[in-house]
Amino acid sequence: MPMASRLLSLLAVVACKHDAAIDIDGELDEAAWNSRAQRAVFVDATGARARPYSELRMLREHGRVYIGLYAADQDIRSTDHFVLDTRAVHLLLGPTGAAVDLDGTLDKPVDEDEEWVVELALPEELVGTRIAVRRCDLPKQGGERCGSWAGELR
Amino acid sequence: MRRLLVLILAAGCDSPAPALQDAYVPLDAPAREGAGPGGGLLPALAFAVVGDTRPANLDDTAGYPTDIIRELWREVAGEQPRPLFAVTTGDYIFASTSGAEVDPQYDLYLAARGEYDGIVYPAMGNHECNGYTASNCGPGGTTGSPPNYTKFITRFLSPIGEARPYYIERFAASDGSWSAKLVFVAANAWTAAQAAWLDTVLGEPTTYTFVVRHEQHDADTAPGVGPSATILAKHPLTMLIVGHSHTYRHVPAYREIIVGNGGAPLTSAVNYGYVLVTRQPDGTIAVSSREYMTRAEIDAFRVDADGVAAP
Repeated sequence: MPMASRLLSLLAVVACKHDAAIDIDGELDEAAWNSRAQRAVFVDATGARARPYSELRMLREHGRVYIGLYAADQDIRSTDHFVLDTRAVHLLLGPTGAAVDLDGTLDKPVDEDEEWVVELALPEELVGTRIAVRRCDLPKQGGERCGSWAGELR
Repeated sequence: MRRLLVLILAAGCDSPAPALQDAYVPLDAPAREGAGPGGGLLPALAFAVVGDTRPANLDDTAGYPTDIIRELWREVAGEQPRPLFAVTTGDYIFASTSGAEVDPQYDLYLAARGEYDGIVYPAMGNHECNGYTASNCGPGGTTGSPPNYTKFITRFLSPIGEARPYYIERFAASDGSWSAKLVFVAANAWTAAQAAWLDTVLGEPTTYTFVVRHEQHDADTAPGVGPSATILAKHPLTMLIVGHSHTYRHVPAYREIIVGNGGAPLTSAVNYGYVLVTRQPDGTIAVSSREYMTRAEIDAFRVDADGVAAP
């Protein structure tokens, strides 16, 4: 992960740590994530739902854009990541960063992992109105599987 | 003593001596044609397996994968020959223990499951406790009895006549040619009492033994996975049917099939789907993993009654 991107992500996390609505901890357990967030399921190159499954949630509140990224993953690796692009930032967000909830074992391919979740918040002016996000994964069966979503932030 | 005498008398006749399991079959399976509470007498051993149907996010009832689950059960119901019963591998919800989403998510699941009108025997998953793989619910458990657990008992198990999350279903051929037991282990409601029960029921002689447990062999933070594996190793086993991982996979070394691709977020390239388990005329057990929507077979294999791959 480029240092600039890592730093920006960290600053965003710190800035929102005490927000009353959403705690940036990697757990999308606040009611707003289900009740008010915009959600998007990743699709593959054919337009079908991507496998493994990935999902984006976005919530514009308090001058920030809160973002939740969900990755179902049978083999979580430290090299896994989402690529998130907005008007002003390009971020690589992986399972080893801050504000990540990881359900599985990192870099242990012999077992079956479940998922990892990244939660972050960015200043609204850095996001603009359009978001693009992509994730490629290397399942145990081999090959590379990619999914993505791009669209307008409501 | 009585069973021994019967065997000695039979051995003196011209007809082939019945195996011990044959003496057991008609006596201990419920004397009822068809699958029901406790098991039953069946014309064939043919059942479906569906597993892991929870949404991705906590309390996300709006994101519950209802359409996928409904379609899967519709396809199970449409299989020919029709599965005579079904088993499910757990994790029907993703709901907080103090929230109000338990019943709504169980409602959605049960309504979707209603596409199949045969009896369904459900295993308990960690999400029927507090959601953590290490959780341990029920009497004697450290997690207590949240509504996720108590509602699972009353809404899933009471209708099939069970009061505990661990139980046994006994089946036998209508003509007495085979017997089978399905043993449901609750690794997230693990107690010494369940351990003793499991050792006892696995000692019952049957042609086939299927054990259904939510967590696969390596999910050993679940309280009952390691202890139940130790008990399983002492007894005959045809197949261990699990979920927890949101995929389908055959793990021959553990005589295990993972069936967790029932609607929960898929963790691999494997699509949503279900599995059919069918006894063949030669006595082997055939497993067919079917893909959602196309019903295409994505994996197939056969094993003998002892779980070893059939030629």
